[in-house]
Amino acid sequence: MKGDAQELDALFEVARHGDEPSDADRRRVTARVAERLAIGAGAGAAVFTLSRFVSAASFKTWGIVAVFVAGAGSGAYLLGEPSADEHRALTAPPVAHRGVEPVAPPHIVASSPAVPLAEVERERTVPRAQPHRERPSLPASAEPAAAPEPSRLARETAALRDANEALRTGAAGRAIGLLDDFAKQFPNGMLAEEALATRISALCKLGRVTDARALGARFLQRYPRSPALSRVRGSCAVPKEE
Amino acid sequence: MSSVSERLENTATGPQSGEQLKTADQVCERYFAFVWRNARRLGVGDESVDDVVQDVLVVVHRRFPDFEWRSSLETWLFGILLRVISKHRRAVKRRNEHEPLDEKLGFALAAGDAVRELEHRDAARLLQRLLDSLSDEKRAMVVAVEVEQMTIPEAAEALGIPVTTAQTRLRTGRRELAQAVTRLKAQNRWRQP
Repeated sequence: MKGDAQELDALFEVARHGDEPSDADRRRVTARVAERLAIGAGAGAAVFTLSRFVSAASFKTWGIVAVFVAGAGSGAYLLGEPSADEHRALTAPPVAHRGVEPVAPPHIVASSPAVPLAEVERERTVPRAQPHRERPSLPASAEPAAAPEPSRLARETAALRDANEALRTGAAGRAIGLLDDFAKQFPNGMLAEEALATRISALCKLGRVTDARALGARFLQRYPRSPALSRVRGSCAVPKEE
Repeated sequence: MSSVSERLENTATGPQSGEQLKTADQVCERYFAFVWRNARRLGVGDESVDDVVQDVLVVVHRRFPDFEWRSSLETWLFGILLRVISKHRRAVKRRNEHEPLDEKLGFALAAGDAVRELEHRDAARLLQRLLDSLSDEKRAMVVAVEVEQMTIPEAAEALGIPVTTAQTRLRTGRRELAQAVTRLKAQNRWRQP
């Protein structure tokens, strides 16, 4: 079984580059998207132009407008409010197909007593569908309510994400600096395991193989069943012949 | 400043930061491969992949102007992709995991180390076959973390679930995948020389 898990890691590694689209795929789909967007833009412009003549429009003209707008349904899909289908696609949680627990929609992270992530996660996740509204001005005497302190796990998550983002953009040195900050700020962090895996990746990127291997050995010893294990195994920290 | 062609090349090996991207067109160009390959990994077949990718890119055009960079583009796109797939899912027929593997993949699996020798495309087919044995939720976690190499917090964000749930799904997903490997190996053992 252990061997099968290692084989699985090897498969992840090899399969990682096996689903790339061809140039033809890219051209075909991009052209179709452009077509759909163009239809949307055309419909939007038409509705705008026709609306200028609404006051003078006869009943007959209204009929023409109605037919035109109905025919340009996909334009409304793109430019106006989402259609029912799109709205479902944007807001509904991924559907459970095999009796697994339902998933909360991505912009609202389900909270649990042990992981009070909701406020912070809601703050920093996907773009908001609604436009920003002006905040009502406060009376001069009123103090703005203090923002709730983000949960520790949420702060850890944000800090670790910054380090990973730095690593992803090729700034491995900066990632190490951020991970040092992370270690100081959260000496017994809940995401220490993830942070260590990220540090190992950063060291590899910097060519510090000896350091990466020392940490890799520590990682394997300390977190033998870590979900980040395959990332560490796939890095320079573990010699490939092992 | 990297050129467009360099950026396109980057998408073949994994998306880089999208911070310098200013328009939805640029996002779609840069992340086309990311959306495509993850659609495949999440179980979208040949017959639906065009439609799913198109829908994701259309949503990107609508929503990108409101994107506030509070999450990474990959996380955002992965979340959109999951929701678009769930919309299409009723029309997508799941593969039957009891269908026999084709001979080449069956042999590679039965021979153990031969997996490393597979071509990328064949390895991807084999992985998809194994991923078919997982629930959609676990599959999404495994794809995000193990294949796309997101961190667990990033994947949790894309799926809209707490980090602890994400960790559990990943662990059980990996365990079930390893069991699927054992099962498929047993089914294909007769192919061993």
